[in-house]
Amino acid sequence: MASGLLTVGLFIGGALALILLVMVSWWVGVRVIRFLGAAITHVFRFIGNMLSDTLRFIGAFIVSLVFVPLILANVVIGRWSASAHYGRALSSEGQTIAACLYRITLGHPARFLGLGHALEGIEGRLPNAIAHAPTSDKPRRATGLFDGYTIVGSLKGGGSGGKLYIAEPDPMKLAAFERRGFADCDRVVLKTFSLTDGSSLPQIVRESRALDAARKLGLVLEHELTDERFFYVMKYVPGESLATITQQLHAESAPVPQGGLDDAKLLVGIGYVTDLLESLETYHTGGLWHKDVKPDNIIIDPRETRDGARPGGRAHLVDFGLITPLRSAMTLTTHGTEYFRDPELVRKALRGVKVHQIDGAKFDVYAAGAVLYSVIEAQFPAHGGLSRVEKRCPDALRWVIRRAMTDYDKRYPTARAMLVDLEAVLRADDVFAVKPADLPSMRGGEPEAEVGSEAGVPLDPIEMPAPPSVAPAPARGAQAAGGEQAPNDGNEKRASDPRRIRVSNWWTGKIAHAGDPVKAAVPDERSARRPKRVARQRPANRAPAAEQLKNARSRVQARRQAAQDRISGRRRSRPSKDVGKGTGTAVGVVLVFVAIGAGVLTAFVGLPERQVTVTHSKAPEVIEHHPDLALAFDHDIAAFESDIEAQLAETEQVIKAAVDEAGEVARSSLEKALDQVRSIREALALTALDGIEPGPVDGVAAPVPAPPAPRSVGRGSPPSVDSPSKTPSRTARRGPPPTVGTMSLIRPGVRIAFLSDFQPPVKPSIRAGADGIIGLIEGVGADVFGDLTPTPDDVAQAGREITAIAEIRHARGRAPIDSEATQERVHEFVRADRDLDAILWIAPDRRDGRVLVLIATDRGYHYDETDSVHPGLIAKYALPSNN
Amino acid sequence: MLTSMTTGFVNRLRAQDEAAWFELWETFGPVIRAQLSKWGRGRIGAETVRDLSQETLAALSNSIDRFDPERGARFSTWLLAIAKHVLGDEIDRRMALKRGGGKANAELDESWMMGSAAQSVDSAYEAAVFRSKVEAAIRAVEKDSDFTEFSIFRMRVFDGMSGKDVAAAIGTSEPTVSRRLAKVRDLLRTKLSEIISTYSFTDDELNEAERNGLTLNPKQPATSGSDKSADQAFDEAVAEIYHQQMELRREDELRLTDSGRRP
Repeated sequence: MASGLLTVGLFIGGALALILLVMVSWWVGVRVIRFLGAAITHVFRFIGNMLSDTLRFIGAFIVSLVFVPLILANVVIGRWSASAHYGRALSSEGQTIAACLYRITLGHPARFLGLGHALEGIEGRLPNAIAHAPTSDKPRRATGLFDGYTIVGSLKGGGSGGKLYIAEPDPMKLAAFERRGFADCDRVVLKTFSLTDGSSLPQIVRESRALDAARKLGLVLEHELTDERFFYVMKYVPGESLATITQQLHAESAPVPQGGLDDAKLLVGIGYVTDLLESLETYHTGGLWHKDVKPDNIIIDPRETRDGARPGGRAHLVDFGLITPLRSAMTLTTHGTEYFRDPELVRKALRGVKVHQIDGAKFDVYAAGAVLYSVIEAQFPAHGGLSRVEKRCPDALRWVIRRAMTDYDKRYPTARAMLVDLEAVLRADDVFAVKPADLPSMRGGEPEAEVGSEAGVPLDPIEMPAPPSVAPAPARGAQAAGGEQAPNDGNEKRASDPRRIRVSNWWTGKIAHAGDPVKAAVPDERSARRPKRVARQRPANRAPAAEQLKNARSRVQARRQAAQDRISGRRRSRPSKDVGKGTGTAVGVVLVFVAIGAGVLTAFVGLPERQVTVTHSKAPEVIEHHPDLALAFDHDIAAFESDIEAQLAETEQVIKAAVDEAGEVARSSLEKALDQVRSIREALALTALDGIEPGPVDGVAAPVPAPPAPRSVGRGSPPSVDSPSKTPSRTARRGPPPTVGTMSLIRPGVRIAFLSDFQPPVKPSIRAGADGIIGLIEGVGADVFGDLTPTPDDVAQAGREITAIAEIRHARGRAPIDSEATQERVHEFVRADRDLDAILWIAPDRRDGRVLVLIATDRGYHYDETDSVHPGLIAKYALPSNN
Repeated sequence: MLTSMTTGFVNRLRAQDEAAWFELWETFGPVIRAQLSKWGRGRIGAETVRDLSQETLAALSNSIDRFDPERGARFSTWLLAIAKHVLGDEIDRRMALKRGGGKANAELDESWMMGSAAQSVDSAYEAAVFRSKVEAAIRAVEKDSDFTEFSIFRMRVFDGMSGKDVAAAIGTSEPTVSRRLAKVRDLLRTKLSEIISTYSFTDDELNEAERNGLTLNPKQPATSGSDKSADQAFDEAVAEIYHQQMELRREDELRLTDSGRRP
């Protein structure tokens, strides 16, 4: 019995052992086979890679050998472009050869031996570090140095094409900064754009667009535009970007269950975002939209601490490349950085929406939410607003991120609202104990209440009616395609009973309803184009659009006319080529004198408008108050007349001498030049200039004959006595300022923008004169704002003024105010702006130190040059009585 | 057989409505990029795929007129054909620019339009396209629903929180959470119907939701089980698709960051 049991036991044990042995053998065998398979695969992969790279190397080498004679041959025959083309191709082949050599000698063998990780630094970090290395610490010689600054280093440039230098201002600059209230500017960053250094004009224009406004907010210390380059100066914030700091925080964080930041590091990260939101609030209340908020553009200054309580330094928002006034009239662009740019911004931009029609601050809020997400997760919010926070994160913080990155209409309305929520999280003893319900925005909507207040919405952005959604909205798509005016709640109906239609001809676009091929054949051409019109349809409440369009067309027309005038003027002044051979010297002499004659003629042609100006200036009411004006005019006209006569006489003498010396062929041309001089003199004798009587101081205007050939100045009809106010007044340079009507420009209720191109520090004399002008305007109850007026205490008002100044400067362009085009543009701006009655613009004349003065109203403009700034510049002006 | 929604959307593309192109790219961009990378097997570099941005798509949208969904191709195949064409055209254009001269648009590979199985893309791609449609529906719901209600849906369905926890987090009662959750769920079903109708060319595509466990009409007789179980199954299916789509996005992001976009 016992032996039987023993036998059975042994049998079972043997069977189990056998099974176990088989299983172990199987397990080991499978792994051995797998290992062998992997090893064989590894070997073959190594061999394959070596072979393929060797072949690639040989191929690239052969191709390179072909390119070399091609390059040389093209050099020999002088085809430089083709030679450069083949040179680039050779360079590309050279890179391929180098890469193959690296892989054959180092890469593949190291990987074959299992040392692939050792190559990560060589293949990844090293090229990355080289690619991100700062550029040259000194600007190129062609670009030149920066007056008042010593370049001490450089920074990696961004995507805007500008170069970044670290510089130290000289004592004079430092003193100027301190006078303007900028402390700690011992080091600054110069962002420079140079056409010779690869920057493009659009980049420069984009950067310079809102810098005036940024300067007003103290974000930009100064900026300058020269013929060679454009640069602006910012405070230098030493430190690493938030992107780098975030990686460091995660690397240094103590291990936590879900991964991510420990409590201390989490608080530091949140603190950076609160700094960011404070900066954004400053921007938004100042009327600016940063538009490129991302971790790379946030620099953490380790020297600063926030209230001395939070370690880790303070975050500063930098890079003003895309900064935009919130009320800008420009069309929205898609500039920004993917993942930190709300896709809704792209949709609106594609729809042609203007900046002032949306609330740009909300897009900064979205970006702030994305930055907060990246701090928590150490990666992009790849899923946009639906991105999931997977690492360790308090519920309340997750809520804040979602609220910031949710749909445009539902997110935090302001940076302030988001900041209030974040500060509530930061203040908590245990951030993980804070529930979303505890956030201020969930407890009675405190932030929203602030938002609704005047302080919260400083710029009162123009509300745009809810635009048609572009997010997958099939019903709308169907409406666009078929032109159905279905209400929103009709979506469900269509969804439950979709109309089945069939495209009967895709080329012509005919469609037919399923089961009813005869009934519905819709013309595709129209249906295909209709959606485009619907998508680009303007919001209903933009009534002034027609007016804007009309103004735009008139501006385009005026500029086109001006361009045509310039072209035709050039054609007229082009010298005749009908000159005989062998008379080069004589012809040169002739052309010089003809040019002189043309110059005199040009000056003469300017007289009629001057005369009209004088005529206007003799309006009795004005002359009564300013008798000195008439005397000044008389003196000036007499001097001008004698000046012309002297020039004519001199020209005539020189041409006569040339006629004596010239050959027969050139003689006829010289005679023509003499004829021109004579005709000028005759015209001068006939002109109404002679008819201008000295200005009557008794208030009676002298009769003025019509000019012989009045040249149209600016737009509209030639000036006349009957309609003085409808004609822009523009006098010759250095002439005394005329008046253009009967009512003083300076009167209660008038709003004047006073702009200055004088760079700080402004000379005391200019400053005093400007203060006198401001005092004069304000003294009569008129409103004045501008570069030289004090910033209002009311931030909302300040924001509006900053925006208005930025818009005026943008409208003016970059040309100096003595250019006719600039004067026209400024005048057009006043015409288009209902809230503005006049613009007074002063600028330094770099040639002779005088002061350029431009006064533009909606009825005209006047440009002058003077020796000083004083209230008389504007006191002499009047508007038409019906204005 | 096309629905009016599909035709409407395609017509918007044909009319070169840039917003429609952006919508298409935003919805299906990661799927297309993933498929192109997979097909390219290194021949199409991440840099090139990355450059296939929405602007490029919009700029090269003329090609839409050449594609005829009527030939029996699925929407997914049609979509990939456009992307493939655009990519090829863009590469040709850049090469032409490098050479210093212009070049006509690339010829279309119209064989893609045929509905034969041999030309079909793999099932993983088809599944990814469907997931993208679900994601588009979720985004549409986010846009059209109240923020708190959608947050409840996210916390409950995507984050897997219990009704009690959600109620405690937002300071409301469980019945309120359930009611608001049901509201968002109903809206999601509606949006799913619309999205699938828009981005589908064949009947097979139109019925894709049901096959993936997304019951769009739980009250119809064919649906087995109670409303509650149908809702639960719907939520689970949506959550699973959402997480899979998240993974796709993450992989897409890694591809992009590996080619130099790391912040």
